Amino acid sequence: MSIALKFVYAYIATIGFAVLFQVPKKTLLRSGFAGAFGWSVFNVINQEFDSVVVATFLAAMVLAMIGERFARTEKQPFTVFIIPGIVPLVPGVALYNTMIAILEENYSLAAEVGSEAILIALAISGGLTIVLSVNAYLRKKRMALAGKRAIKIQEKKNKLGKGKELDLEEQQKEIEKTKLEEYYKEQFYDDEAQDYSGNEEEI
Amino acid sequence: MDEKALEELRESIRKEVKEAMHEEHALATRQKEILIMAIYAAEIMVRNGSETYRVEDTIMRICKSEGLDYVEALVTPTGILVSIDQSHSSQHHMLTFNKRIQNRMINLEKVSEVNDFSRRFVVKEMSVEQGMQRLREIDDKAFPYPISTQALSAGVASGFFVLLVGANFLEFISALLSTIIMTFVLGVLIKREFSYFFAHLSGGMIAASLAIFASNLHPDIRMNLVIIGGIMVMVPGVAITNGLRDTIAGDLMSGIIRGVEAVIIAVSIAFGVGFVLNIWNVAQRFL
Repeated sequence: MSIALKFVYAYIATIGFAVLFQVPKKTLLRSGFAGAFGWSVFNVINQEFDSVVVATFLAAMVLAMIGERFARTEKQPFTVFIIPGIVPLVPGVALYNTMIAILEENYSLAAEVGSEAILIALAISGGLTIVLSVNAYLRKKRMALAGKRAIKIQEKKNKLGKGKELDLEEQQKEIEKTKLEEYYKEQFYDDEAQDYSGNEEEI
Repeated sequence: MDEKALEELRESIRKEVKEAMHEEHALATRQKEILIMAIYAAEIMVRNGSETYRVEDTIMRICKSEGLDYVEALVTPTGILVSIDQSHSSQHHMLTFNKRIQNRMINLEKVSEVNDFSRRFVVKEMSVEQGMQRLREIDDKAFPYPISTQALSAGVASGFFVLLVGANFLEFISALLSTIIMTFVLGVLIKREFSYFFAHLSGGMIAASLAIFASNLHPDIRMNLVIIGGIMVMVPGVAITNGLRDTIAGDLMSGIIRGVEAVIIAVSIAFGVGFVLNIWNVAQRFL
């Protein structure tokens, strides 16, 4: 079966799972894309290197990257894109084989297939966690920058006398407020954040 | 000092104390309102399958945007605990709220909506009362997709999934049909508030029975693939993955709770499927 055909199948399957998890209607197609792309990565790597666990790990990483990207552009929590996407990767087949082996009282086979299932689950969560924590670090860094910017804005306001006569504590509170606003702009409204930093010069 | 001046002084002191008490009361009421709203938002998120850190983050943001400096939130899939106060240094007005969460499901639309709400609330687009009203609206919202649509899409998903793992056209059709029936029954059982164990046990039994039935209709239909198609829809992959992710992130309690939930679901599916397969194996000897 060609890769393109498998991509289409995975696309449709992921959208089906997405409906099952009540994903908002406007993000269905993107969820499907994330899942299909993740599965295709899994498929190609699995065929090349013949290792389900490594393929799952890399596919989960790619999936997390796509999910984060979509989460930014669509202003949705990234779970919306990732949860339906990981279902095709989940070790359902391995769990089924484990159960069959236990039924046949073939316990060594059960241990073998069962540990494969656990390794696949670990690979998925490991892949997701690595990408997500690197991204969280980068975001924190950007938040710190936004905080510095907020202090600058407040200082400028004070100089121009727009900030009224505030004592130190109130100034601190104002800065905190501006910081939060800045942070939200930074995280979710990329383009607006750029506009904002442009306007900063005018203040 | 004469009597009259003394009386005036007393009067003014009384007035001041009264005003101060009034202020303090207003402050406490406002704090309570904010706390109740934050908890409500968190409750909706946890009940609909959000990750732990996102819920804690939302509580922190909502409270801090209203000027409450001291916020401690402990979120697990079974309960939420939040303490707030005005400032770190003096904790005289400490408020703590505890919310038990009974049942959980996955409804990502609501998670997304509360997430959006918290973003709007933090940039002061609405007051606390308006926020509370918005949260009630979100909470009362029906599922975006009814059970019939869910069953249909689960069927499609499982059909195309078995195609991915190498099924033929007949297996595709039988996985599609059997999963539609199974998901519909599962949805009804969960809606009627049967326990997770019972619902997934029944799901596993139905999947296995229908797969046996289908494999006897035509020799090309492999029973294994049809069962896998059915259980893919139920498999607690999300719970396993989220549990492991919580554990790696350091939310050990949530991780363990989710992990146990996943194991229970997996065991109940295996029970259902295994039970039917075993009976079928025994019955075949007599047929």
